[in-house]
Amino acid sequence: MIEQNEPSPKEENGEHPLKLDEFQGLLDVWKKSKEAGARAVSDFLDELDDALKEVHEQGRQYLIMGTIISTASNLMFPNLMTSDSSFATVAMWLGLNVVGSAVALKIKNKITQEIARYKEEVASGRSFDSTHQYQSEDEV
Amino acid sequence: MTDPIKELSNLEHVVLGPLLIATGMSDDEQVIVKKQLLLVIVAQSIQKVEQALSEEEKESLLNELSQLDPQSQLDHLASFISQNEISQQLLSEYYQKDLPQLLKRLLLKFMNSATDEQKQRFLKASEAV
Repeated sequence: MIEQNEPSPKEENGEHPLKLDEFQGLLDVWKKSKEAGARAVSDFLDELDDALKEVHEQGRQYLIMGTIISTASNLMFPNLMTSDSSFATVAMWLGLNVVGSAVALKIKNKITQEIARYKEEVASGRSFDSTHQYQSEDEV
Repeated sequence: MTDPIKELSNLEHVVLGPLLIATGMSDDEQVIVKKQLLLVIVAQSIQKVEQALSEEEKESLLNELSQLDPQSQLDHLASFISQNEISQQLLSEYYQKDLPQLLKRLLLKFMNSATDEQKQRFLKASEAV
């Protein structure tokens, strides 16, 4: 699915210096894809793209973050990132040594609830409600 | 005693891993997405630390960073954070509050338009954890 793309006009104009070129290419490919499920992937990638744009906009205010993230994107990820790289890799790089387990537990509970709901639908002979809208204000 | 790094890995295995599997993206594509997500995580976590610094501390740290090569910049910041108790607390807060919000935001966006097959894949991957 990966295609080689020319830099987008935005990137050529330097509007998104933090963006990894390959990610923009991936986003473009999924937006154009007619595959089943492509819309969900495209929406997911769009949301991640928005998160990066927000970081970039805030980078004008947070100069240390702006300095480091440019370095990190050019230096850290090509060397550090593999298919096995993870949040834990980043945490260790940042010197983090205190993380509560409550986060993982809360998310596990939330997902367990969702799985139970789906199982109930299957058991009752109904198909999954693919139009179900999750509330963004739901607590994890 | 709980190993925080292990718990963080669990978080990835419970949420991000199943989400990426559910998308149906290739392994190479998933690595690209993980890079992008990690870039956001690094940026947000550093921003969290920077917010708590005084103007004097910011200026001093920026000045120190400007005199270093790229690799040394990363090492210097990591060293600063690891030796600064407030920074440690803020990073911990980021991983406990802000990061789950980011993951939830991405997960909900995907699930709101996911096909039944994608949802099935997510459930199967989640149950395998």
